[in-house]
Amino acid sequence: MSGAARTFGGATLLVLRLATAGLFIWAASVKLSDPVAFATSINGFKILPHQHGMLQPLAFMVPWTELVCAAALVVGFWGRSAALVLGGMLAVFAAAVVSVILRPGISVECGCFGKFTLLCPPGEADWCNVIQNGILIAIALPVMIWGPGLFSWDRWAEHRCRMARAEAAEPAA
Amino acid sequence: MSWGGNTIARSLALVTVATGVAFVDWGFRPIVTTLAPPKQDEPGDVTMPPVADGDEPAPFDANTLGTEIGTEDAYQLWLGGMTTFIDARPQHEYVEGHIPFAFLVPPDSLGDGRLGEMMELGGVFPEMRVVVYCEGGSCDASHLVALNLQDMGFTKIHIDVDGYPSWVEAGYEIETGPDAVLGELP
Repeated sequence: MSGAARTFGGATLLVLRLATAGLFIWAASVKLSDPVAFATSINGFKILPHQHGMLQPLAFMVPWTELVCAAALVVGFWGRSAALVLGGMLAVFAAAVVSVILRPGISVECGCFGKFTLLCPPGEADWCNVIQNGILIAIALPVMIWGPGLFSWDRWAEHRCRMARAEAAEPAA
Repeated sequence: MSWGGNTIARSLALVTVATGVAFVDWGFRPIVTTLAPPKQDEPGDVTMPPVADGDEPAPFDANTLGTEIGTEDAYQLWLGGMTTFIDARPQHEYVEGHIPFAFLVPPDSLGDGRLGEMMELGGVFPEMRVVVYCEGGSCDASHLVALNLQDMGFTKIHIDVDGYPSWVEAGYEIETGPDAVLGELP
């Protein structure tokens, strides 16, 4: 691959990485600013049993996982892993929405971005939210596969590692 | 860098860090603390505390109660007869047994406007004192229902943290069957 192509690829990954990170930082801050609304939203999916007390910790764990992984993506630290976690979460959210659609008598708002919406109109969660999550997974997917791209901690660490190896190999040559 | 066990291990590490931070955050602002403390009764309210008999102190004063109460206090409120009880457990558990005259509002039904329906049909007003209970222990349901009540303007909300099992254990009266006012959930 030529240098220009490599730079273009790296820049594309940088853009995708920052887009994913920005989106999740926004989503996490909305949820963390009102954990009660998010707990009520999770509860509406009727997936978790109430008697085991999982709702409250989950209302904090989900947004904090989003925030930590998004922060890792911003600096490109463990970029593939961070994108993998966020992609996995999007897949789980999509599965939860599908389960709501398939179960009769349940109507719930997505709650993905608090009271805000991204691509879908406000209201009950439907196939639009599933498609929206699919698009977001598609945006994060290149980072999962090829890494965080330009201006990332991972690339800098890889470069340093390569230099150290080259230096170590030099005297032997 | 290659995609493999390293990536998975790092993903788990990120989730672990996030979980740790989440639990610290939850510890500092558990959802129950967002419930305002119950307001004091005022003259003219429907839930005035019992009047003292002569020089004797009043045996029980609802105004001294905090947001979280135990079975004994819940029972005293129930005996007073002016407090609305809300059962936040699943419907089948309510039908098997509940505190007499308690309304059924499982958190699953919060989005269905059941709270509003209950207020309308049951004559429950935001000025009234309410006690919400579920299974006790770590159940979230009573907190969720209580928070929704607060959003609807209720100001005297108590959560019976011991829950229904403790009520039964204490040997207090129970009744069975569907919600007398609202019937079965659709």
